[in-house]
Amino acid sequence: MVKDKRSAKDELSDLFKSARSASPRVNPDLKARILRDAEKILGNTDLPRNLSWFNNTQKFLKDLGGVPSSIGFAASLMLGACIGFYSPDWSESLTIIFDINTFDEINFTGSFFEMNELF
Amino acid sequence: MFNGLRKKDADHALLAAFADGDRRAAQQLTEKLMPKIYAHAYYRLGNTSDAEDVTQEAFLKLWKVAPNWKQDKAQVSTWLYRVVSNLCKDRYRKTTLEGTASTEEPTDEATSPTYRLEEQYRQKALYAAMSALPEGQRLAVQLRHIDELTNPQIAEIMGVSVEAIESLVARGKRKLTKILQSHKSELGYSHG
Repeated sequence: MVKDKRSAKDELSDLFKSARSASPRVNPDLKARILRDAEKILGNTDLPRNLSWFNNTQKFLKDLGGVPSSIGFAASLMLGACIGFYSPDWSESLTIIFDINTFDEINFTGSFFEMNELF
Repeated sequence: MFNGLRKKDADHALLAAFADGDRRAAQQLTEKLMPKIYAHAYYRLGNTSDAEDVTQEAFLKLWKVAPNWKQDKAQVSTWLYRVVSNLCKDRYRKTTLEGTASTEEPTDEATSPTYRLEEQYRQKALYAAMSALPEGQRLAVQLRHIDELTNPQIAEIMGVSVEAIESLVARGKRKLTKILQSHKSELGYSHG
């Protein structure tokens, strides 16, 4: 049982070797648990990748519905902006066509519980 | 598929494949890295159930970080060692405070009972001696001599320089020798 005289270094190496051999067998259930976690992460949603601005834009356009959809959105945005800034009297022609006169129908100076008579 | 790649690149490639939805990559990475990580956790914590929990937690963190993994980052295995090491530290502190830390005896049916008893005694003695080391020395010695990692890898895991690791390992081993000196005959070594 008693071994030959050896250096402390060798003895320590023996002990380390013994410790290395002592690793218990891995429980197969552990592997299954780890893979289940991986599956869950993959199944959750698209993994949140760190995307560049270009990739983000591409993803946004894709979410909008692709190129045709994006062009449609862009056109309506531009038209909206034109109407907003240029203010052509398109609304007037529309009211003539559809025979609408909003301003006439709302009586801003009408009586509200006769309160307007106080002023 | 990844045979031609270096180990580091192969692990990175597998992780990237996992991030892209490849389930087989997760399996391959688990099979490759789990035994080492589990063995490390087992030796730190001394019982299988805590070691399993900590290993599972470390891999869960790996799966979560996979989509944002950068190629220039550490090796996947080094990163895992670092995570599991921190988890072990937390767990060990918790169990020590609760007074539930225990060591299981690893079983090996292939050897004789006498030899097994001797081995168990030696393993327990080393475990006890290592537990008496300061945290840094203990971790450095374990990573170097039980997990068999290189000094640069250990330096990366512990976030210190290679020189500091060499010093930690040397001091740890000196202290271990001193602690184990009184158990020489029980360990099967003659005095002298």
